[in-house]
Amino acid sequence: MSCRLAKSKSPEFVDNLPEAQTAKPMNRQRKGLFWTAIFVALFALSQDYLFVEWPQATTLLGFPLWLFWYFFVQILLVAAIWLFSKKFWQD
Amino acid sequence: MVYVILAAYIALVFASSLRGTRTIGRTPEGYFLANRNLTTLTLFFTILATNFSAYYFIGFAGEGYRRGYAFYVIMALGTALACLSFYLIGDPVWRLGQRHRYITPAELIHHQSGSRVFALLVALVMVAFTLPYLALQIVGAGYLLEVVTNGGIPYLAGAALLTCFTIAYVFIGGMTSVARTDLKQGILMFALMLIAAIIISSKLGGLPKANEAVFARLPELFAREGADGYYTPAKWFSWLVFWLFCIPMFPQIFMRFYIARTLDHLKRSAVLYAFAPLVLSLLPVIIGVLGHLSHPGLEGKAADEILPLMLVSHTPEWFAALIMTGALAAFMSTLDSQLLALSTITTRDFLPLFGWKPRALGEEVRMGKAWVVLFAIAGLLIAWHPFATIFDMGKMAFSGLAMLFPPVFFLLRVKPFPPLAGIGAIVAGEIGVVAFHYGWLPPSCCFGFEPFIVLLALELLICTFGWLRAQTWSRRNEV
Repeated sequence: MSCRLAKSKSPEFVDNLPEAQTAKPMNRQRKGLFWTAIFVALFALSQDYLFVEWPQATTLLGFPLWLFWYFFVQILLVAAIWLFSKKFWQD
Repeated sequence: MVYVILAAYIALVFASSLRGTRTIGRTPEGYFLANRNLTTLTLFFTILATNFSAYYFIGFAGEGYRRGYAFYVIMALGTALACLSFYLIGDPVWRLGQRHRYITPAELIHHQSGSRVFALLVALVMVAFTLPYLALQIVGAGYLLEVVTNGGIPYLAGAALLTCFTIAYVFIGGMTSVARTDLKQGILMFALMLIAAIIISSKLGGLPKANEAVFARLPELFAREGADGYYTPAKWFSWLVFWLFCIPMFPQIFMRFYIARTLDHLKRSAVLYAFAPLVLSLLPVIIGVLGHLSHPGLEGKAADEILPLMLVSHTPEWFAALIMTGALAAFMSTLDSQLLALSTITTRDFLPLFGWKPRALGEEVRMGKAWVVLFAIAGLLIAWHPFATIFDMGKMAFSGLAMLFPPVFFLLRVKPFPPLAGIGAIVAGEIGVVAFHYGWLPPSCCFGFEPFIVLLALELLICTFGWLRAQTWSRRNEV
């Protein structure tokens, strides 16, 4: 099927969300909110100036302490996206 | 020795990228999208190598030298957050691409919105803002080859040489060649960077000792807000969210969402994409920070040369040449994808507007190849006399492309979405980008945030308003 930019003005197809994502909409919506909250919380952890003042010193390997905080946040993010891809992001 | 390494590298990459591409590249889907058949590792590396351009080698070390370890977080966590776009944009793009066999972003936009103007506007913005970014790769490659060969290959000759080499394998093998080359170049450039960081820090007495020595001289490089307090809370917020909006709107990345063999491959690539920058982004920043021990006092653009300077100071000549070859790999792996994406968009979206229609299956591929050459020449012409510094060219290109995110997201995820709202949002956003770039609007009106954040917020407002209006109309019609 050709998908070039045809001259017609009205859409031939307007796709809705895939079936898997429309099944049990309330339940899915709740789970969607849960995962949104998880990722917003992770992003909030990256705004560390709001809740902590880091000491001006070096620690392990000569890196500053706050750098380890960010290693931790990113590992949490990787774990979250992995779980998200298993539990919520469906085929 | 430098020439031998460069020649060997070019021959190896070229030969291996062409294996088995003859049959794949005959159809438009085969040439432009590798028959939508990439598995996790190839997909991940082609996205990563496409995204980690020359800026990874040159810019990361330079910014590490100027700003310190705070820059690492911006790039590592910022890039990792962009993995969410694999779901927000990549998932619907992949599904709709499988169902309707779209090849370009504009085909999807047109089919889903029914608006040809909306689709062409997206295509136009993609071409207009990718072209300077493409030229930026050529500029970087030219500079680097000149440094590596000690001026033996002048800037413009080096830029032309590497552009011709990139054209050659894109021309022959299309997306299949590009993806295979990206896999090899990606592994090569990151392995070499790891070895370089290990050698340099051990020559300086080991990483802890070297870091302590820099800290004793310049503690601000270890401060959370970076040297000179550069990363204020508003700037920190701006840069961390920016990549999420920007990366999926690069046409070369957007089109990669089409080419995963299954959704599982796309999901696994998203997880790997979140993890990779954790280590990869740290390596050049370490070299940049430790650069103060061997080459103190570099200022402005001179700091961008810290990586080659450190390599020359602390590693044998052949190894420095090898690392610089890795940097060239980074340039080319971005350039090849950009050339292919722009030629695809032009061939399929713009040429039919002027009455061109392929008469045979192979004609479209041949036309695409011709546009690969034309875009490469256009990039070389810009690189001949760059209109701005590398950083400014990059920032403008990234901001312009990021402005496509809100309307595309609304179209894919929030229905009903009127195309007029999408068109309005893009026009407002792009006018804003140009106005801030040329100083017609003062940055002071952004309350300390980067201008692109204010413009994205404006676009989100326009899109939300359009969506609410469309919802009201559709409810009225139902009644």
